[in-house]
Amino acid sequence: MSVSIVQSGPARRKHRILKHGGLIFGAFVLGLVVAVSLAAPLLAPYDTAAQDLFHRRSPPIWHDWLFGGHRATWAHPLGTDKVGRDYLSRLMYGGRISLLIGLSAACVSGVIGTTLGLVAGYFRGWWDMAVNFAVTTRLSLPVVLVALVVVSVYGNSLPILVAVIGLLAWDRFAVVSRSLALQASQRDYVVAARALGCSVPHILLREILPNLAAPLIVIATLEMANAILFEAALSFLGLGVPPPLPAWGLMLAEAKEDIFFNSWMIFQPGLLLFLLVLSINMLGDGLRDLNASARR
Amino acid sequence: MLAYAIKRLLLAALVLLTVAAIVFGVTNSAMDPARGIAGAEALPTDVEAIRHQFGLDRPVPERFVIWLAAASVGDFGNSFALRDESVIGLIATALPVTLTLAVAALAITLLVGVPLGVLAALRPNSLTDRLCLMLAVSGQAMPSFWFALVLIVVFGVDLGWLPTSGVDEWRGFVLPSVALAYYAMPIVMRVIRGAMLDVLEADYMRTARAKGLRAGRRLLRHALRNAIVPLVGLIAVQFGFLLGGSVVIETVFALPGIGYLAWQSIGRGDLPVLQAIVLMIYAAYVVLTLAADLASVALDPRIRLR
Amino acid sequence: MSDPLLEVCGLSVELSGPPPVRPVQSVDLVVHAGETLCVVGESGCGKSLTALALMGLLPAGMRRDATTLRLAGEDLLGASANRLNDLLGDRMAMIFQDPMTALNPVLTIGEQLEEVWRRHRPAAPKAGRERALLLLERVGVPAAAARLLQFPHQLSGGLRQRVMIAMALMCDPVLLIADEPTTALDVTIQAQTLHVLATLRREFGAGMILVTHDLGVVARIADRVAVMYAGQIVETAPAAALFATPRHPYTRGLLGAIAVPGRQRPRERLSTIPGSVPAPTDAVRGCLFAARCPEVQPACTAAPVMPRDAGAGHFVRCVRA
Repeated sequence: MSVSIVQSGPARRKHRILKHGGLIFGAFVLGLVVAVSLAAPLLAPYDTAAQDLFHRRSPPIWHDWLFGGHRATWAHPLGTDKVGRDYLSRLMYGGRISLLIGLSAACVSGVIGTTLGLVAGYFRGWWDMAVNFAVTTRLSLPVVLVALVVVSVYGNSLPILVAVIGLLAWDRFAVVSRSLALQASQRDYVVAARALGCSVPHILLREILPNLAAPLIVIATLEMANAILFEAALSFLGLGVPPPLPAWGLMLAEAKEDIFFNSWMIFQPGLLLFLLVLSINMLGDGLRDLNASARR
Repeated sequence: MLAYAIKRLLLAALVLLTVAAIVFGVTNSAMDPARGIAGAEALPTDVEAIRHQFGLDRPVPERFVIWLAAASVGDFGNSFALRDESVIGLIATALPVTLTLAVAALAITLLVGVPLGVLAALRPNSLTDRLCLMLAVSGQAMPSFWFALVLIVVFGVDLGWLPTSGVDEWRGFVLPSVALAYYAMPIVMRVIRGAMLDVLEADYMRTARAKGLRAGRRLLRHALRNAIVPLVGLIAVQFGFLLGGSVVIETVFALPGIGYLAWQSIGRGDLPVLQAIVLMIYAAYVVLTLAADLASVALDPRIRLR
Repeated sequence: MSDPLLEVCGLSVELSGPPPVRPVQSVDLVVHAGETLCVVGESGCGKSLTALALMGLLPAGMRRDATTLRLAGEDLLGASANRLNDLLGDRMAMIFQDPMTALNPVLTIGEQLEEVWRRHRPAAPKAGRERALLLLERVGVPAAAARLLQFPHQLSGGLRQRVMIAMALMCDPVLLIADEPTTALDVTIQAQTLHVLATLRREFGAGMILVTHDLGVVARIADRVAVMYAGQIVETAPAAALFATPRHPYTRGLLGAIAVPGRQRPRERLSTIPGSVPAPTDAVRGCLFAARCPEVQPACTAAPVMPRDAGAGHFVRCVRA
């Protein structure tokens, strides 16, 4: 028994905005972070390494507003760290690091995972078993431990970080692209392409892959968020981005040392991490809902 | 049934070999613990002697086979860093801490996540539902170590209610468990909510109403009993994740568990301990997934092992 | 004629939301003890909703409304929610259409049967098991004791439906409502299941409302018939009278559309009713069938048509009756 309910024009528009509120919010916040990060050279008031020893451990303006006291200074509106480096500038540049690593790692894992998945789903048989085995192995690895080991052994430069994170996060790409490739390879347009004599790379790249684009983008956003969290955790443990680069995870590690007397230090980098990951997650969820409703 | 079990065990063994080989290969080919063992003042000849004594001058694959053979009978040797301590002894001391932490975190996850998920499903799109959704979304975006730090600041430093490090008393486990649980809870809540939404629409719920059964009984015996089936596998995966991912939380709270031990071993180049830990975590993972499968069969009579 | 077991007057189901829609309108039904009333109509005519409305099991967003709703003399409209809940499964029981989805897959047959008993007869909980065994045997489920420990997916469709029948009879209800109980079953099983249903109903002395779209089922089991069209009852009559002398043009059209060996010449087309059923959201003046009726008159569309008494328990919602 289905009776459709007719809504008036304005009500429908409001309904649609509310429904995609997450997507809009996520895109907006992410866009803001990206814009500020990209414009950091123009916006940052100080160099990230510049030490203002006179104003060491200066709390941010909001801290004085909330808790009283007169230690904050407008010269450093978000405060300074233990050697007097300006937080505002470091946080801006830190966004670049998170975004860069997140995006690169997601790309690396995306390429690896999608390739494996396409091969497994299209060729099946032994290829499928091999990829399944690889996925099972990957899922059995204690990811954080392995990453720590690799970084401690091979050093913690940015390329190594991206490689490690990317090599440990491809499983969801592989699983999804495998099942989608499996379905697609049975569709008529693929059978037709084969009958026409198209080469295998052509079929995989030009026929099957475009249909996977939408769901894979959704996964890419979520994996990017995971990569950002992963890098932050590694940096926090000291085996991530090398100091003195202004990575947010590193700032949190430094803030931890001062946690008893300057507890405010932990809030800003962590909050930014949280907001960035949140916005990417909401963007990804919103895209996934869009996908689902478009297909209906 | 027997064939299936054998197939699974074989697969598990194969994956185990691969995992062990990967970790062994990575650590042993680049790390040189001989120097660390010999000490800072050792002469090059001493270092060479140590290297020979511990068999570190043999090729990596040969060392792998030797280690594997010993491990298969339970001989993991002694730690490189603390030479009088056996690897098994070190792990045995650290394991209870991590297990307590993981169990506590899992308990919090279930005790909070399941009721919230059920509540959200009973009132879809209501304020309750949206609050639960916000909780879930923020939990998934929250860096666990930052949440841990915030908890320390709020409860440990400012309010002074709870200790922030060490395990001298049960209260030392509260903050770490909450920090761990906050990350795992969102997915549990979402799964329960989704499962309950499906179940509540099922025809057999209408039959239960038609029989005059009371709401509480319908919810618990008829609805929830069906909704927890997909949760079982999830719990196993989450528990494994809690075990393996405790490194960060243990270092923040200075809990002497497996994660912390692994972290120290990496720093000290203590390969035997590291390798044993990886093996152990994997074994736990295998046991957990097997337990989850068995539990699924027990809970849902329609599933039968192929 | 004894007092009616079930008296329904002016029952309607309303779907909220602008504008409110009534997939069931002003339904009058009377069922006597020991009698089977069949509610028959095509898909979408509102017969299942009527059954659900009687039980108070309408889905969210739908409301029932009635002038009179009385079961064995007890007014259901004014009854409290607790009282209504007590009645379900005890005095009135429902048998649903699809036994696979209507039974809980994770509970045993025994648990699902016994819980009805324990809910309504808490003073003698142990007796539930014997009652369940007895009923399973009466509905013809072999190896009843073993079945109690089995799960729904281990039984065939026909057996599951028999379990549903047994479940409905656990507390000896005075009224059974069966919503298309044989539709989801194989044709070969349908006759058997109907037979079990009819026999047990007679044996337990309950009254029954059986909702169906199959006139064959009606012919087999009905004492009285109510024909539904577009949410309204258009004709009510004793079964024999309905088949012999249908008075409503829709009923005549239905009966005429049945393929009977010998009635049609080879290759002759089956007669059909032209047009289609009006949607619940359409606003129709007067008779809902007028647009398709071969005997339509100006009076048909002037005002809503009330049921008229054509004598001997035969009621017709037609201007020409």
